[in-house]
Amino acid sequence: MTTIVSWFDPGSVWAILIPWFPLMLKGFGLNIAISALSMLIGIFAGAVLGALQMSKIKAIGAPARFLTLFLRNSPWLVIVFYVMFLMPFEMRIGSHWISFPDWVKAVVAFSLPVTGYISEIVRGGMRSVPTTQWEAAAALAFGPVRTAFSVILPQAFRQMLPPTMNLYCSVAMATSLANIVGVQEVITVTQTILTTETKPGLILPAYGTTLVLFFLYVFPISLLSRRLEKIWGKGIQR
Amino acid sequence: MELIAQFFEELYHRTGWNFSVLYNAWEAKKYVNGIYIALELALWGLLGAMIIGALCCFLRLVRFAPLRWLVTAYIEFFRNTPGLAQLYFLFFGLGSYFQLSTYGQNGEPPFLSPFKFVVIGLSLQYGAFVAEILRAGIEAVPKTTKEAAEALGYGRWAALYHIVMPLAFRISLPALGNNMAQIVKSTAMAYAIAVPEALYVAHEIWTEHFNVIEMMNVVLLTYLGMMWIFTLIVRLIERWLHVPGMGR
Amino acid sequence: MKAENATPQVILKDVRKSYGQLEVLKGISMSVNRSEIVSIIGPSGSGKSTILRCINALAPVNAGSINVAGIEVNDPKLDERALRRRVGMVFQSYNLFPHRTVLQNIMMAPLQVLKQNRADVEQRARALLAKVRLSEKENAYPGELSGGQQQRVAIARSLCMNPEVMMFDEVTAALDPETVKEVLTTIRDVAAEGMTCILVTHEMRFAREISDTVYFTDQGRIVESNNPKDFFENPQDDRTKAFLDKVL
Ligand SMILES: Nc1ncnc2c1ncn2[C@@H]1O[C@H](COP(=O)(O)OP(=O)(O)OP(=O)(O)O)[C@@H](O)[C@H]1O
Ligand SMILES: [Mg+2]
Repeated sequence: MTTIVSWFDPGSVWAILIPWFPLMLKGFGLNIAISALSMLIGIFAGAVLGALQMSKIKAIGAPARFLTLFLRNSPWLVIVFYVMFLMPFEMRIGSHWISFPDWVKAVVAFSLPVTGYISEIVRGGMRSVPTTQWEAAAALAFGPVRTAFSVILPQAFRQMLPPTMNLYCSVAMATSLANIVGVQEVITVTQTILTTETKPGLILPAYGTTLVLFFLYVFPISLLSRRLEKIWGKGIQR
Repeated sequence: MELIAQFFEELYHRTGWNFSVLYNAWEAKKYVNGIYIALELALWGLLGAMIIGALCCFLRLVRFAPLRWLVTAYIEFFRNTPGLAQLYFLFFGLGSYFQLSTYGQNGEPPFLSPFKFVVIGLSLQYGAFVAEILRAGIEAVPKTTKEAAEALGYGRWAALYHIVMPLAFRISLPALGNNMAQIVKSTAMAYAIAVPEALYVAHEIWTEHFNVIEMMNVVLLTYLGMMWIFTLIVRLIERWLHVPGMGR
Repeated sequence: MKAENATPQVILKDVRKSYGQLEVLKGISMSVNRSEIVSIIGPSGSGKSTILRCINALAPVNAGSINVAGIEVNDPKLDERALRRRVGMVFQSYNLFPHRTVLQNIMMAPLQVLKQNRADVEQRARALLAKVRLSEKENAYPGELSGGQQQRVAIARSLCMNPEVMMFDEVTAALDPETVKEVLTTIRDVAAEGMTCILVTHEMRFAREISDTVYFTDQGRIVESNNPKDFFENPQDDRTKAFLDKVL
């Protein structure tokens, strides 16, 4: 009891920390924004790369597979560094100069591994549909692109959604790495708060709060993905 | 070696591409040491993760429910929060609170080095994943196989030890290998608390020589190389444990 | 063959068993003498497998009593190991342990459960392998055998526990007609040595030829039991007649 009361005492760690919550939430909003945008970009790029991977033309399929492997095997942090340091902070398009703030670079950085993973998920999903479906579609005079979009993908969707959701969980968590290169995401905000307050007792609850924030956001998505996997897993069994 | 060094020194003077680690002996030594530390982190982290994962998997089979809930809570929490935030929580939070990571009043070195914190962090994070992988493996052992063991007189634990676990481990192996690769990649995170692994050393080098592009590429290749080695090891283990006719 | 000494070895008295709301066994009573060969036939879902699973305590019963060679199965202090070494069971899906060779599969339970001497067990296992005509396969893994071969190994594995009663649950149902014969021959050999056998089967010709008594189950009850000749030629109950009409 005493500990609970003391939380609300003026001067207790929580009394100091709670006023900072809005700022932390704002920082976490940036994590969500970065993860959502990079996921969006990665899904489109990954779908294309995945389709290229399946290509029967060797000059297309092999490089696509290599790129996929490369993107999946590079540490996210190294990719973040790479993009942060090597992408110009502004770029000239026609007569305009467009500047890239750090968080935009972070979006670009995270969309790269996402592309690799999505490419692999797409390939796995396409594979999960029996080849007879391809043949059936071909017999109906569908071209390969039409077949992919109107026959195979709708069937593969159920196979692909749960791993894509899991991937999103990983991306959401990985956005914390942007802290290392100074993006104003939630951990960076937390560190700023800690240097402002200079109270050692604050460190533990402050980092604890960021952990809980991530958990509250990621865990439901991960649960849902597991649910879907279970429900759909039964349906697809052949 | 001499030739390579000469080549890259030449390259620098002629083109300005400065792969300093490849010709500067001092830096090369530092960088190789960085790779060594990264590998060490990965191996210790892997060992810790396997131990924690197996332990959790075991505790989840115990019939005492509160213990199961506790283990499940740990697993879910560590699987669904960022490794970096966990590391900060451990190193800055718990580390300073319990004075594990800080220097003593008379300047005694900290109880746990940053290196050890990273190992603990990796073990805790990936231990949760391993626990989940092993559980899935156990569930994938057909119920009829467990029943056959029972019909032969095996008790619950004996069946688990002699039949279910060996099968579950084989079923889990690809996922475990994947997990291992993730650990290798995650060692880069040690950079954040100044453990001098490959990325950190590279950072030091490029701040001195302004050769970011070159060093980034060296780092990237280093990690791809490490991943490749680990993939080979996993393949070897898979082949070693392969049972003819089992699986597809 | 007829039972010479009519000592009951397996006795079921008014056994009831439910899965949730569904009552699967609605009062089963039967008695099997030493060296007697009993067949249980009946439509799918009538509870045949459940009877066998209750006899070796794989499924606990809700009411009634089961006595196997003097062991009270429904006793809460039942020594499951003692029961299961007396009762061997062979399943429709073979359920060999895929990570062990044929010989190891046969030797595992006697060594690990009964803690018997390795040399003795090995000798016995080899003899049994010869009996099921698979000596040359002793170092193969289950995944490398055909269904019929796997099933014969499963029979040898059960026999190596030196059981007093053998139960066969539709052991030929998953096999193609060619291999059914080799497995039935093996069962015939086992029966000929005086082993008490309870078999659930869809092979009516085989049941008729080998059994001393045939039981017919429907919806969790034993509808009719008789010697095979009268049972097949002169069935009394309408349900038996309907069933035989369908399958013969
Ligand atoms: N573990 C279980 N949980 C719930 N219901 C079960 C379970 N096992 C069996 N049943 C039900 O009990 C009934 C009898 O099953 P049982 O397997 O004994 O039938 P059976 O006569 O062996 O049929 P079959 O010839 O198909 O093998 C069935 O309705 C089945 O659905
Ligand atoms: Mg059955």
